[in-house]
Amino acid sequence: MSPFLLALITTILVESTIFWLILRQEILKTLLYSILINSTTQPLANAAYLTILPHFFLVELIVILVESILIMKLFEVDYHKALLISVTANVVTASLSFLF
Amino acid sequence: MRNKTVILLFTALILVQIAQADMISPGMKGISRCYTITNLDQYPDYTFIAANRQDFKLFTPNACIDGFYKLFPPFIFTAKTADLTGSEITLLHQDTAGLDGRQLEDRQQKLADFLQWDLWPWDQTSPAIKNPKLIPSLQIRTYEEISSINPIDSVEHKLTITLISEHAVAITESSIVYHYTDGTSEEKPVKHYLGENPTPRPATCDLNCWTWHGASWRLIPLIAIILIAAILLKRRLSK
Repeated sequence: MSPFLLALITTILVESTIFWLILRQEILKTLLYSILINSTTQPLANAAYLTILPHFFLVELIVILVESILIMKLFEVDYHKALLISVTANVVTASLSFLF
Repeated sequence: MRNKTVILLFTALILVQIAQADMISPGMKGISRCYTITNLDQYPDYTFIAANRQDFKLFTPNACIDGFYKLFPPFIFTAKTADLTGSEITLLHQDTAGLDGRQLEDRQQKLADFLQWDLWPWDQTSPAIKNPKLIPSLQIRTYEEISSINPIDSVEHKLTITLISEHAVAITESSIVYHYTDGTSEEKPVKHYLGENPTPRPATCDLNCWTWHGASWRLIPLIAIILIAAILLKRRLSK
């Protein structure tokens, strides 16, 4: 399996768990939204990082901001909570990317 | 409050990025670049070394020089061997294998005395040494970070001495040998001067190389965005 596909699936699973732990919404809905959010941000973030923006933490910052808006819209929560969820989820997945 | 949070977040991430200098970023790998001088035997009266503020290595006919700390790219210095003292020649030919920490420190101090680096300006792009016996030429980089799926395993630079005069030494890069992770190698002639061109990536591994399907980096986000828009639109219409 491609390392990028593996990374995407891992990110979706980890972030779904974090979304669910914080929001306690329906599991399938949480998983679907996580798939949509990460399928939007992760391929674009990887492409940007490997080509035009080779600064990991800057890319992560942009991802956090974009994901926070998507979380706010999809899960219908206020922006502050969405930002907190986005930061938590991305700090965990970014840490995992350093470990593996 | 929201603005404050975003500003704090941004500041924290910028600070973390500054502290990242010694780390290999996710999705990247470090590769070694080593350097040989191909016509060293034509200049038997000269000594060629690569040195930075911390370490030095002597160019010998079969040696491919590498292994300098990534944040201190060394310069190549040339000296007339006849100008060097016995202790300097001994220092340059000293084998570091088996030296303990104190002996390495001592060697580093002797290097500092020999090169006479200026303490200031702390400019890594300028060979600020005072020793008049040494003529600086190229600055070389022995380490680079590239995408982890780039098939390059290491890079060998072949240098050629083109001119030596009393005050100047010209060394140019004649070819680059790319060693790939599958064990193959290819040598490419160089038409530029060292340092002006980053490591060219193999044609087989550009942006399309990192995805599981060539177009997926565009297609998957596009589908996801359309679906998100559809969900939000449906939700709005049903209200």
